Formats: sequence, C-alpha cells, structure tokens
Amino acid sequence: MKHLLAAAILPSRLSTTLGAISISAMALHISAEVLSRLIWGQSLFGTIEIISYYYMVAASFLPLASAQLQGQMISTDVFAKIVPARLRPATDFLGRLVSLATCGMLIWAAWAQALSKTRVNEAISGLGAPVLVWPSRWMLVIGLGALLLAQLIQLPRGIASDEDAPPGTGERG
Amino acid sequence: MNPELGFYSLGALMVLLVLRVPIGLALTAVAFVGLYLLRGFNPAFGVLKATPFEFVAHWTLSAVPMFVLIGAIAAHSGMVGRIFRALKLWVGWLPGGLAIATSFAGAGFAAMSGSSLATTAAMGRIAVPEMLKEGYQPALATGVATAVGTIGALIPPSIIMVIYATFAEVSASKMLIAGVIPGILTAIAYASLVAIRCLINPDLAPVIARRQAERREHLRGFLDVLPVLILALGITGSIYAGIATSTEAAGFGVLLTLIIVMAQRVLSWRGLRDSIYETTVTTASIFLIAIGAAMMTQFLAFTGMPRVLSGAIMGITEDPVGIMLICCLLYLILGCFLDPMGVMLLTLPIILPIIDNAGINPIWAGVILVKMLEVGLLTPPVGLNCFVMKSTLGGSVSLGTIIKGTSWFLTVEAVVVALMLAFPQIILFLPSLMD
Repeated sequence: MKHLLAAAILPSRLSTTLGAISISAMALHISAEVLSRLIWGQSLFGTIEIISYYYMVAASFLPLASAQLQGQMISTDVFAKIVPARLRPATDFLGRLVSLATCGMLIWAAWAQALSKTRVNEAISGLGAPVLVWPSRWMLVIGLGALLLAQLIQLPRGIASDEDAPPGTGERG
Repeated sequence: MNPELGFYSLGALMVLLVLRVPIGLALTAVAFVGLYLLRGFNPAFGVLKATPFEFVAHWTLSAVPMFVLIGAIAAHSGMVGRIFRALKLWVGWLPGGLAIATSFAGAGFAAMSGSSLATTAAMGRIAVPEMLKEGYQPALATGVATAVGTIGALIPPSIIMVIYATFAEVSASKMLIAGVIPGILTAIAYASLVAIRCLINPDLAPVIARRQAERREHLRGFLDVLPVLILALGITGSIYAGIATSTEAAGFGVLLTLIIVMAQRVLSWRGLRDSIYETTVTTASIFLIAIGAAMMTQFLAFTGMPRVLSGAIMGITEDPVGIMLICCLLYLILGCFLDPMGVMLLTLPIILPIIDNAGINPIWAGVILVKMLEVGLLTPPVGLNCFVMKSTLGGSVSLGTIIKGTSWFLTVEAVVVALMLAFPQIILFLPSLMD
C-alpha cells in the first residue's frame, strides 16, 4: 500500500511542480510583455500564443492530481448530508467510481485528440512564425493520467473508513 | 431539441453532487451522457475531445491564475494585520472606530485575496480580538468581521468577474471596472451602519481616547497602506484607462506585489513557494469546474431547455428587475449550500440564455449575481462565512451571536442590492466611460 501511495504521489508532485513553473513563467512573461510594450513600444514574439497554449494548459491540468490528493477538488458536502450516515460510505464509493469513469473518458478523449493533432503537426500562426501546439495537447493526457492514478489510490478509502475527511467547500471569490 | 432531457439532466447532476462527485467531473459526466443520448456517441465524444483544451487555452482567462497568485502572496505576507493597525490609528477613535477600520481593512484585503472565507478567517484572528478587548459588543465585532469578506468579489482583482465575463462573452475589463462602485458603496454602507448604530447606542462600542501618535507612527501606517493603494489603483486604473488588458494588468500586478513584499521584507522564499503551489492547485480546481460548465452549456443549448425556462420566467414577468429578482432568489438559496464559484458555474448555462433572451445588460446582471453569491455566504442557516468566524474564534463567541451581528449587515446588503437594481448606473456608469 505504501509503495502504491508513493507511486501515485510522485507523478502528482512532478506534474504540480511543472504547473507551478508555468504559473511563475506566465507572470514573468506577461510582465515582460507589458514592459516591452511600454519601453520599446513592441510586443514580444508569440506572448499570447505561448501563454494561452502552453502555460494555461499546464497550469490547468498538471496540478489536478495534487488537488485531488489534498482534498481541494470543489465538491459539495451539504447535499451529501441528506444520505443516512450508514449509507454514506457506499454512496461515497459510488461517487468515486463515477469520478473515475469520467476521468477515464476525459483521458481517452484527450489521448485521441493529442494523437490526431500530433499526426498533423498542429500549429497556429503566431506573430510571423508558426507556434507548434500539438505538444501541449499531451499535457492533458499527463495531468488527467496523474489525476486518475490519485483517484485509484483513494478509491478503497470510501469503504475502509466511515467518515472520510470531507474536502470541504473551498471558496474562491 | 428535447427540453425534458435538460430538466432530467439537472436531476442527475443533483444525484452526482449527493454522491460527492467533484462539481467539475459531475458537470462533465452529465453533459457527456446527455449529448450521447441526444446526438449519439461521436458528437458527444467530439465535445469531450475539444472543450477541455479549447476552454483553457485562452488569453483572457489567464488573468485568473494571476489574480489568485496576487491573493496568495498577499495572504502569506501578513498584509491584513498591517492595514488594520494603520486604520486603527487613524479611525479607531471614531464611534465604532475599530469596526469601521475592520470594514475598510477587510474590504481591501478581500479584494486582494479574492477570498471571502480567507478574509473572514484573517479578520477573526486579527480584528475581532482587538475589538473584544476594547469592550465592543461581541455581535457587532463578529458581525462586521464576518460580513466584510463579501465585498472582495466586487473590487478588482476579482477572479469570479473574469470567469463570468468569459461565459457571458463580455469584456473582462469592463466587468472588473463595473464592480468598483458597488464594492466601494458596500464598504461605505457598512462603515455608516456601524457609525450610526454606535452613535445611537454608545454602549455597543466604547469610544477609544484619541491618542497623539508620533509622526513616525503615521508614516509607518501610511507605508503599510500604500502598497494596497498602489496595487488596487494600478490594476484598476490601467484597465480603466485602456493601457492594459485585464490579463496584462493581472500579470504586472503579480510583479508589483512581489516588488512590494520584497521591499517590505515580509515574504520568505518558503512563503513565495507556498503561494505559487497554492495558486496552481486552486487554478486547476476552478478550471475543472469551468470546463464542465462549458460542456454543460453546450449540452443544455442542444436540449432547448434554457429557452423553455426563460419562456416560463418571462411568462411570470418581462420586467428586467423582476427577472433579476427571481435570479437573485435562486442565488440566495444556492449560495447557502455551495461555494460562490460552484454556484456561478453550475447556474450560468441556464441563467445566461435567460438574461440574453430578456435583453438584460449582461454586465449589470453579472455584478448583481456576483453580489448575491457573496450575500449567500452570510445568510442563515448555512452562511459559510459565519461558520468560518465561529471556527476561527473557538468557544469565545457563540454562533448565534455571530449570526445576530451579521444580520445587521444583511439588511445593508438588501439596501445595496435594491439600489443596484433600481439604479443600473451604479454598475454601468464606469464601464460606459470606457467605450
């Protein structure tokens, strides 16, 4: 079990670190763009394309596994309280199965999309030169894959413990 | 077209929420199965293939992680304590002065941090003990500290405004600017309520003798407040003047925040690292819901259900204020159970077509809806902010006292919302100058 847990945590840490690097790079890149425009009156090459197609995609999908493992996925506990306490382990387990299946479908779709876009060498025209987009498609597969692994590790907990630590209704205004 | 399927899908969504499926995955699952039933496997799979990537690969949306990062850095740098100390020095001697200081410090911090709950916890730790020590009535002290967090979503930088703008297909810059006057109006209304109540009943808050502070103290207070002013004015001003887009203002805001906290030496490397990590996890969990909501929007549009629903609502009333009141009621109820981002993304697929069909200005509607989401955090029986205040304070103040104190501010909120409904210019004046 311990090894299994480590096997799920490692990819989630790695992918979250990549996500964190993307967020930092995004802040620097946007600032550099603003400064460049203010000082030289010129935009940097491909800022919008790189931020949209790389940093944003990395920041959105790579940290999903960490969000899952830290209980930061936004779900609702209030509605779950209408289920009698003795049934809750079962309903929670069912909920985990649904999450797992949905994540699996998302991976399948992301995989199919990444494969077809790689084959056609997908690119978009940035300022002057084309920017390759297909490598970024694989970040969905990696991020969602790590999420699936994290969900698999957490799957049995719904049966093992009566009251799992509820993820809480995290609020972001 | 199959409106019934649309209504059934909402039932299915509720079931998945009861099973505690994360909101984002629940929306995705329902949208996929619904599209499959309506149009077959290939079109449904096509949406699943295209939407996640296309939704997030979006320049305007990149303001969201930047705003989250500004908030995380602000929270880690202990900014709120310093702002409160400075305001205490300046307005603490007024009737209910500490509560007034709490109103403005809380509004400022909530705007920066973008989180009502984080602001409530911070004010509960910093402002409430000071007020109680000075003999303030517990209901007043906890009430104001619980309510102020809700102002943040209106004042830039605001994540929820950017997300709304994306779905409503309106300018994010205009949406951000539209919240400024309502946000400031609410903060002033809170402070006025405190001052009037304390003037009528001085027992609520014993007046603190005005102390002759040294010039150095004033200067330090000013230097503590200055960064927040620079940031708020810098971000709002550059968007308003059209110098920067919301994304550019957000990215530059991060750099500005970093320079300020480094100059003040209030953020460790560890704090910075934690801020970035928190931001990544928050960003991913918000966008997962947004992606699900985007797919749900596509599915519901195919069913034609929003059109049927908006027809039904417009059968009741065609008056924009009446329609908004119905939406407000819905948000008030949902806001009691779900977090604001969840409510917004769950309901936008239904509400936006209604607003559109009725010809209501989407910016006006958006600011009112965001306001209602935040008010939902205060309303009993399950106003989340009240619980956060209770858990921050422990046994020293009862939940009943907190709810009683907060109810005064709910009354103020009702007045502010009524004003926004009656006078759309409160919301639309600043954006109209940007054309």
